[in-house]
Amino acid sequence: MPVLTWAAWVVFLAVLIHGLMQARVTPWRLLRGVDNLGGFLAQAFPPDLSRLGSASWSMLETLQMALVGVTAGVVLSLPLAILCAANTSPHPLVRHATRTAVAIMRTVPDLIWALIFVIAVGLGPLAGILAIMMDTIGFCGRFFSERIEETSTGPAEALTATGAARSDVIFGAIIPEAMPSFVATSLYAVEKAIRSAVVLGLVGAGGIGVELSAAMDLWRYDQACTIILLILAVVIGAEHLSSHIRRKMLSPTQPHTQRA
Amino acid sequence: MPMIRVDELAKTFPGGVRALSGVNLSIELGEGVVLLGANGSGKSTLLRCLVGFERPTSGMVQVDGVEITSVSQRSRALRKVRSRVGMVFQRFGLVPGLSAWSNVMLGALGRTRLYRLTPLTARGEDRREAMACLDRVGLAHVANQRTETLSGGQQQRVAIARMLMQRPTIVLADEPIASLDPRAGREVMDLLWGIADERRLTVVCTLHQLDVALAYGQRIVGLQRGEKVLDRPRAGLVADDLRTLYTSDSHDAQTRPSPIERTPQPPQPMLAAASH
Repeated sequence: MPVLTWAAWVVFLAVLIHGLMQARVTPWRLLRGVDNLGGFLAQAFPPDLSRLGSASWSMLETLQMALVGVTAGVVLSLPLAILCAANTSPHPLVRHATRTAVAIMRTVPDLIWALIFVIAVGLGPLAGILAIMMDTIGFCGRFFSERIEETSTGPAEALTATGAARSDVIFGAIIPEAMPSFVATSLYAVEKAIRSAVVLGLVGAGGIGVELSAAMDLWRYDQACTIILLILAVVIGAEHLSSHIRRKMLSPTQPHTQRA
Repeated sequence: MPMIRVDELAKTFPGGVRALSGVNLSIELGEGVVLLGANGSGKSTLLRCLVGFERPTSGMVQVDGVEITSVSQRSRALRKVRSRVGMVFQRFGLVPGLSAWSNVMLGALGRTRLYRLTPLTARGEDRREAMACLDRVGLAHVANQRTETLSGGQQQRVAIARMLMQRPTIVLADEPIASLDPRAGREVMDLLWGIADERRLTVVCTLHQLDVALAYGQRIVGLQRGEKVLDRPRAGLVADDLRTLYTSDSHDAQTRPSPIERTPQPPQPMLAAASH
């Protein structure tokens, strides 16, 4: 074992040093970088608010992409998660097939999905929506099915004992128990999707990212600054809203009643 | 024909643990049987074999005329028998996040599909029946509360209401009071046996406390290490007759009988809490 450990260390250090050499990190470059950054900031401030109106429309488009993509993804995740989870899957073969499909959707980065869908359906928000949908299925499909596997066996067994059909046991006992967690996961998926929807625009998949990359390409850093500040405000706002809803969801809604 | 017939039942779990061996049992319509034994004596396994939750290693189980041991796990025949057998569990088996009323409605799943039992789609007659069941256990006033906000005793009473909603002919109760305090436990037992009495239900109830066992049902069946060692009418039995069930199992402190807190009394047909 020590030999292997040593080998691992040597490989790690070799890769690390080679990586640093490739990046050509020199004090001179870092200093120049700071200088360039100063130049960018000098041009970016004060931000040019003249394009705030059109940027806001693009931002709205980004939010819509995120919302539509996540909703479609969540709706598709639920049946996939049921097929994936060990305690609800109809057959081990179905389980392995869906697990693999969900794993692929999760492993391929959203930016690559966006590139693929831009080729498939052209530039614009639809490509972004489809990319977010795939990303959401990869994320929610996995967490939904894990939550389904964690549900307690008692309620499902109790309903089975009443002579209920298998599907009624799943939707009567297992899904209701997992529902709060599904909602929390979906809200987190919305947060995640808003962040990635911003970036997806950079490859032409619609939304605020298109505006940002245009402003950058035209060296209008003051306009870019407006857009970045707008993104910051919206993303922070969305995260606050969603964590507020999650907190309300997960706290018990009704107090413990008096004991009988 | 007996409601429940068990012939030479044996169950050995993978790994070689022998839960049941050579158990014979015959229970008539309307009979109330207490199945008594220490932890690990095989009571729960026997009960689970009756509804097909466990497949016996050998032997035959017949419930309400259907041979459970010969029907397949997902068959309609098995579902049909299960719909006539109401079960009550130690940990209640209520669905968290749903109201007490919704949980009771789910008791009808044996005869009605789920989409006809939701708050938006349920038929009036089913709604009224569920409320009547909740009322019978004295919990109509918490119908709209989530079950996890209720006390343990209340949760078990909701589970009994769900069992009533099922309109069973047989009731199998698996340690129904093991997770309740003595007072709530007594309330639940009075309610359960009172209902069984008024509807002439056949009852099999597993217990591990001697004093409680001596207060309910007509017959006591004792299990020890998977074998039936006692099967007598309750009348005339005293605690000393039952102690042998535990004595040689003394390696497990938990299986000792609980100290007798009061003189056993015949079950009260009505419970104060159920009368409003």
